[in-house]
Amino acid sequence: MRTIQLISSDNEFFVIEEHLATLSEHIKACVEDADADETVLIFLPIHSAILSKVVQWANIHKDDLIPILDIGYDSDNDDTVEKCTNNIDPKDVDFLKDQKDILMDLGEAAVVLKMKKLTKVVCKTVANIIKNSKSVEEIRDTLNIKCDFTPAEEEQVRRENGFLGNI
Amino acid sequence: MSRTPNWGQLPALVITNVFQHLNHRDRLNASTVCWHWRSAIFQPRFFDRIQFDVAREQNKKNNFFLQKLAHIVSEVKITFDSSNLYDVELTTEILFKLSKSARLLCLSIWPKNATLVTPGICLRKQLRAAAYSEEEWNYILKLFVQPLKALLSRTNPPLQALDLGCSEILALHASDFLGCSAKPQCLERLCFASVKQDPGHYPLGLIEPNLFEKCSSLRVLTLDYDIICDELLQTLQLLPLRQLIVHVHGIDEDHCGLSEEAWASFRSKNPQTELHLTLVCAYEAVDILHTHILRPSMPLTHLKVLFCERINCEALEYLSRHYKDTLRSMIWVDSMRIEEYRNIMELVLRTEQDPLVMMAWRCKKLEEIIIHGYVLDPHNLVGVSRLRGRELQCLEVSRIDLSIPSVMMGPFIEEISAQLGKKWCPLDAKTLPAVLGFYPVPEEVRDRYILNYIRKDIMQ
Repeated sequence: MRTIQLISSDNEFFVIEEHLATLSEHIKACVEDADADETVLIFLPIHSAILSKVVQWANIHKDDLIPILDIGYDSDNDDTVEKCTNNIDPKDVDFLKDQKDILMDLGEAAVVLKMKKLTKVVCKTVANIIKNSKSVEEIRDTLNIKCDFTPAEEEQVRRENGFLGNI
Repeated sequence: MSRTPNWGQLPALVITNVFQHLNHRDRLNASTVCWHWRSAIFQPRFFDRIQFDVAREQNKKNNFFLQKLAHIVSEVKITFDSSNLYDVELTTEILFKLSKSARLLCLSIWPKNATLVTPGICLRKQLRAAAYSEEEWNYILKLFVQPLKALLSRTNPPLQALDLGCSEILALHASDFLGCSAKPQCLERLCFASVKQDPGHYPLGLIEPNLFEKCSSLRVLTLDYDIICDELLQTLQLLPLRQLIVHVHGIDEDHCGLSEEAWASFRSKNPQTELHLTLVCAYEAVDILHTHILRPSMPLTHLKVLFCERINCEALEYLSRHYKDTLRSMIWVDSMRIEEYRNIMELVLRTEQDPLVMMAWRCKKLEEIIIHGYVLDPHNLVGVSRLRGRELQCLEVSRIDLSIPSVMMGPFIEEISAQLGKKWCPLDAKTLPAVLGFYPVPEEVRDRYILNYIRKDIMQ
């Protein structure tokens, strides 16, 4: 079996098993490009703190039958507008619980690595946070987003929302 | 290791993905969080259709739509007070911007009045001329017709639907619109039927039948009766039409009518097509409806007779004789007149039978009867409800025979409710729209009502 090593933006090494590569289109493509017997080194613009979480998530799912994901939970069709957010795998709910502070980095990492399922569960989790928030302020607080509108701009945005409300 | 999450930096891809899991309301809330999130909401996938309700007090909203949405939506409807020059000019500005859109597929222009005022119209009104003045014509050509032609001549993506909202002057350019369509095979809905400013005198538009030959996806078409001839019908019968709506106004002396053979051929080729026949202020046509317009082989599903100032009982009888397998809806609406304050039965001179009862008995698909402006006998309404039962989804009337004391009406209403399987009662004469009150009704009020009423029929 080949060794695959992921190297984070802060130069930490993560050795992963080959079949985990199938969880990421990006890693899969890198592995396919490499020679059959050499160690594959993949440099990623992702910090070790996040990359370790990604590897951890991949390990949680390594025993899934046909790991790539679009089976069972989360079998939404990409072409339809996916409004359903209560179909997150309990393992992921558990994994992402109390991780609100790194959800964004995970989402970014998932996009960079082209990990469809991780992107989906992270986005659904964020969507759930938005749905369960009672106000815009609460969304900002929960997700720690800085409001960069001036008061006048925010007032304008809210007026526009009034126009957009009944579309 | 502490990294402060900064959600504002989230790549647009992830925000878009998050937004896709939200409904419109939650998405708007989320887009109020910060600039980065705000910018992610103005995408075609989140806005497919908008409506411009043109009016001075809507300017801010409409300008915002023009700036942020006009270029991304695929469907636009514009409603405007066409008797107000200021609103007409605002509408032309919107049209101009829309004509540059690379995404717009369906456009509906809905004037609220039959008349579309332009800077040149006052003169014509003074001269009481039927023809449009040159100034008026050029204004429409430049500010309405040109933008529409620009949209129609766009190849990618090709326009799919154009609804002229029954505007007479725009419908006169129907032939041009069809002629300049870059991909007529992609047109699915064309609404060229009109409501006339003066149903007694109006210019006739013509459409060469061969212009429709390439419209191989056309599902919905509305046209004025004046334009249709046997040859046109033969062209239309080759299209996948699901709905054909025909407006009848005046009957021109030179119009040779449509033959039974042409309709028979149309029907055999298009057994599923809905045929709507709508008479609008057709004071002459209503009299000759059964002799000159209706043909036994028409696949007539919906008949509307609006403000023709007369009920034609022979035509009603004709309906039940010839359309028993197709007729689904019969609507006859007029303002009330003192001299017609007698029930329809009294108008039936030839036979003893109420034509509505006959219709209910024979027309097995009839699901809607609406009659305003004429007095009905409650006994016969009970008969109608017994014959059609729950299949009659709509029975709307406003005047019941006055010789019956109101205390006697209770049992009738109960019986009809029981037969229809839902609570039923005639509309209260006191709360009817003004247009259904006593004649005379201002033309403007009538036209607005008609326009609202007939646009609802068009399949989307």
